[in-house]
Amino acid sequence: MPRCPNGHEQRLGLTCLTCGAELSYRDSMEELRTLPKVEPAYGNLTVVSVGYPRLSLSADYVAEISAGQADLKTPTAFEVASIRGGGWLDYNKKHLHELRQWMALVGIGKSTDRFLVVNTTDPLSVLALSALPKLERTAVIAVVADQDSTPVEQNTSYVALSLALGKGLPVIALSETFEGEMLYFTEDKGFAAGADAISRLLEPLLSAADDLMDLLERDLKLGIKMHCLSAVLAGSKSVYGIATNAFMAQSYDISMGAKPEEYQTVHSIVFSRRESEGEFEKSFDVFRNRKFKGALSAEFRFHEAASQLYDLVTIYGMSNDVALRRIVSGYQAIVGNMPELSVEGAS
Amino acid sequence: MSVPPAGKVASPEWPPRTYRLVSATYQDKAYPEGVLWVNEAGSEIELRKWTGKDRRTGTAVARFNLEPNVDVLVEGPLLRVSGLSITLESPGVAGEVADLLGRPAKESEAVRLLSEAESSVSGFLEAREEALNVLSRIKVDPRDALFEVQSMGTTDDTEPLDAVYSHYSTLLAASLEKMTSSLATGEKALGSRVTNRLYALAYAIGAVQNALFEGGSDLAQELAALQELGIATTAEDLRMAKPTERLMLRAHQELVVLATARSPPN
Repeated sequence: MPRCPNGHEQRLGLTCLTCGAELSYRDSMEELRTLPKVEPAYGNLTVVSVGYPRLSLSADYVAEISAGQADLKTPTAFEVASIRGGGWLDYNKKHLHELRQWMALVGIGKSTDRFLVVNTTDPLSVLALSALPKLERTAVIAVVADQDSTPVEQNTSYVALSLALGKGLPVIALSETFEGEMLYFTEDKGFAAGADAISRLLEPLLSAADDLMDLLERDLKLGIKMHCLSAVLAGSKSVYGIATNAFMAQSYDISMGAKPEEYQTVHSIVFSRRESEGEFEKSFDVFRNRKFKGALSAEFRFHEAASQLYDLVTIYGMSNDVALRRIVSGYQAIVGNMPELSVEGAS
Repeated sequence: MSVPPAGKVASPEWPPRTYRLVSATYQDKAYPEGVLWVNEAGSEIELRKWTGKDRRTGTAVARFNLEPNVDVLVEGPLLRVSGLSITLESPGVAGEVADLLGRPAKESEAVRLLSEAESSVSGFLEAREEALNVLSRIKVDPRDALFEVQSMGTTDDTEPLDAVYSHYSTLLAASLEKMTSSLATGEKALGSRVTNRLYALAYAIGAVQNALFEGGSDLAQELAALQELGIATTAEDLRMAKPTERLMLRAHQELVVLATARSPPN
């Protein structure tokens, strides 16, 4: 604030209210040179889909990285022109620098939590996970190649997963076969397959993003990065009877099956009416004791929902190399021919 | 005394003056007596000779509309202007008339200098307004706003927001330097009163910008300060686009009056 020649600090005006002297603003002008600091509102949840255009997701910030007709960059889209016959290395060479710049520009690390929904068989997955800086509270929901995938897909998926794990990111893996067979039906929305089914599955999961991230972070502290999941969407008493049946039923359709001894943690999140909370919690205990007695950690989370139908999602922590082991042969077959297509080539 | 020529209006504050001539020469003809009529407000002079039986009626011999940059030469009681040579009663009177006739040129120069000074103040304040507008957008919608201003030199190891601050810090430092330098140069001719007023104006508009940026203020203090500076406006008006440009325009007339201010004649 300006001062009069006699040192009285002033309100805005021409003369000092205390002594009547004329105010001088010359020495106060430097104040105007300093700009106020802003705290941008980046929101709590960021979801970026990679190689999955047109997912219908809900978050504070939703963006997509995809290939299309031409290069196009907006605050919510990083689209590159498809490279004919191009693999992940071609996209990396051409777009890695600009994707890093785009990620910085849209504040990829600024929200509280981040989920990347990545089709790791898509060459862009390697590009995205190479460009992604090392961030906390960031998880990858990944469709991964399996034994039915081609060696090129296995190679791409292997490299992408290795990059994610190398950056310390927890991964929820869905095998390509599981993703291809996903089919949900609800009375209000009808059938959903493909990208619609993924959107439908992610809808409850991302609505509980804070809890989901918390569970993944807890598993990280146990050294567990790799997860798979199972779900019952729009479940009801008339279909499943008691809640324990729903828990048991969903465990027969896990997104990436493993040997029983490979499951290390099990966590369920239920979205239902408040009066059902107790029943679901007890059922979770029964389910855990029956099928995952030796789990290192098991947690139940409940989210109140208005609908009579409930959603139940369970994530299973497992050995980090489960997903990689299944596709290592395809990966190595490609690297044998083209050594630059190794994990090291993307780092 | 005489009547102003038809078609010319004499300012009530600055009435025309007449000065008795000792002698005058115009177009090789000598006029041994008469008066010099000076309408300062209309920037015109007349050479008048006495006519009539009583030799008391002033009749115009020649009338001149003076350009602001007209040359006025004084040698003792002799005054030369626009082909007219006039010997007045004393060197003091000749000096007074020369001062009167040179005043439009001084005022024109003062207005020019004032415009330069105002332009430098506007330059700084408008750069600041732009910076605060960008920061306001970043505060609410950082991704869209930073995407729009990505040309501000984001590099791999620079945070986009830091690049924006860096860009505007450099711009504001340069424009503030330009402003203070311009005001210092102009102060020699405009005087400290005008310069102080320009600083006060810049600070008050800066305070308006801050209040608008912070939001939630009724702007009462800022409106009162602007009122003191001779700018009548409203909070609604300040909240419309580009308030700096409008405030500077509204301040201009008051500043011109200050810059060309003179004491009324005795």
